[in-house]
Amino acid sequence: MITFNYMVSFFLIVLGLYCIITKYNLVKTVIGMSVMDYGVNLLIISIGFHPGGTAPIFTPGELNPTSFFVDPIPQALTLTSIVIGACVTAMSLALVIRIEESYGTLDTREIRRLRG
Amino acid sequence: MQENNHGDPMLESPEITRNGRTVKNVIQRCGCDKVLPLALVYVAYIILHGHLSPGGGFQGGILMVAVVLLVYLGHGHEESRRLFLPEVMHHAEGAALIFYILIAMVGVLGGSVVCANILGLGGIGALFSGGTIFWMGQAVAFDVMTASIVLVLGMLGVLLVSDAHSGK
Amino acid sequence: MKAFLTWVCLGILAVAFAVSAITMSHFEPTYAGEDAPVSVYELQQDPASYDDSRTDGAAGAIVQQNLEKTHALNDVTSIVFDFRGYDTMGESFVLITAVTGVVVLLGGKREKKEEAKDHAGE
Repeated sequence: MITFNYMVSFFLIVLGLYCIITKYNLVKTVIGMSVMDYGVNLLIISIGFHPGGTAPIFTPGELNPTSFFVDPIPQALTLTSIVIGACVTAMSLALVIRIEESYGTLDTREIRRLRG
Repeated sequence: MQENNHGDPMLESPEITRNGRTVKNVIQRCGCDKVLPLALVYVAYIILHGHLSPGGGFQGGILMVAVVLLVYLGHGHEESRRLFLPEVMHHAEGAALIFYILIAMVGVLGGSVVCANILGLGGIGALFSGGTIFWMGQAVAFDVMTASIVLVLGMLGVLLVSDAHSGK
Repeated sequence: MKAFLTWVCLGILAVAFAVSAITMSHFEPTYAGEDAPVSVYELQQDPASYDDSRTDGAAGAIVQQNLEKTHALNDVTSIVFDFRGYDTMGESFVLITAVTGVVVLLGGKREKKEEAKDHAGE
C-alpha cells in the first residue's frame, strides 16, 4: 500500500527532471522544477507512515484505547519545504518575466545566440 | 482610460468611470462582494484554531492568494492597488518577522532556551491555550499573508511605477 | 544522439528508484513505540502521567510530553512553533528574501508594453 506512494513520488521526480532537461521553453523548465519539489515533499511525508495509525492530534472524542499515532516530525518538516518550494517558483517566474522583456523571446536556443 | 492587461482577453471587461475612479460592471463587482466575506472568515477560522485542529499559520496565510485574485478580478487594476497598498505590505512583512523574533526571545529573557513556552498556558482545549504557540502562529500567518499579497500583485503588474502611462 | 543519451540516463534513474521504492516498503515504521509503547488514550485522559525513561526516539518523547508542556492538542503545530521554532524562523527569512527579490525585479520604473506586441517564441 505504501509502495504506491513511493512509486508515484519517484515518478514525479523523474518527470520533473525530464522537463528541466529536454524542454526549450523557459516556463516549462520552471514547471519541471515545481514538479520535482512536489515529488520530494510526497516522499518525505510517506516515510513517516505507520499502517493503521491516525493523525497525531489529541481530538477530545475520537481516541480509543487501541489507537496509535503516525510520525509527526516529517509532517512538520514538509510544511517548511512547501513554503520554500513556492518561494523558489515565484523568484524564478519573476526572472522569466524580465528575460522575456529584455530578449523578446522565451526560447533558450534563441537566447543563447543573442547574448544580451 | 483603458487598463493595461497585456492584451489578455480574459481580463478585459467594459469599464465605466464613476467619481473619478474606474470600476467594473455590476455583475463582477457584486459577485466578488458576495463571496469575499465568506473567504475572509474562513481564513480567520483556520488561522485562529491552529493548535486545536489541523491548520495554523501557514495553511491560513496561503489562502490569501485566493482573496487577492478575487479582488483583482472583481474590482480591476487600479482599485486593487488602492485597496491592498503593496508597498506598505512589503514593510509590514518585516514587522511581522520582528514580532516573531521578539516572541522567540521571551524564553531567553525568562531564563530558558530560545522558543521556550513560558507565557500564559491556558486550559487544555481552550482557544487561548498554548502560550507562545498561539502568538507565533499569528506572526507567521501575518508574514505569509503579506508575502502572498506582494507576490501575486507583483506578477499581475500592479507594482509598476511608470510615467509613460498612456500614449506609449 | 543527445536524445538517446537522455533516455538512457533517465531510464537507469527510474529503474534504480523503483528498486529502492520496493526495498523501502519493507522497512519498519520510523515511529512505532515498541520499546515504550505509548497509549495515547490514557495520555489524553491524564497528561501528567508521562515517563520518558524508555522512549523510542524523538517522536516518542514529543508525543508523550506534548500535552503536559504545551497545552495544545495539535502535535504538528507544537513541533513547528515550540520544539523546532528555529526552523520556522529560517523559513521566514527565506520568504522575506524571495519577496524582496520579486519587488526589486518587478517594481520600479519601467516602460509599459503596448498591447499589440508580437510575442516571438511561443
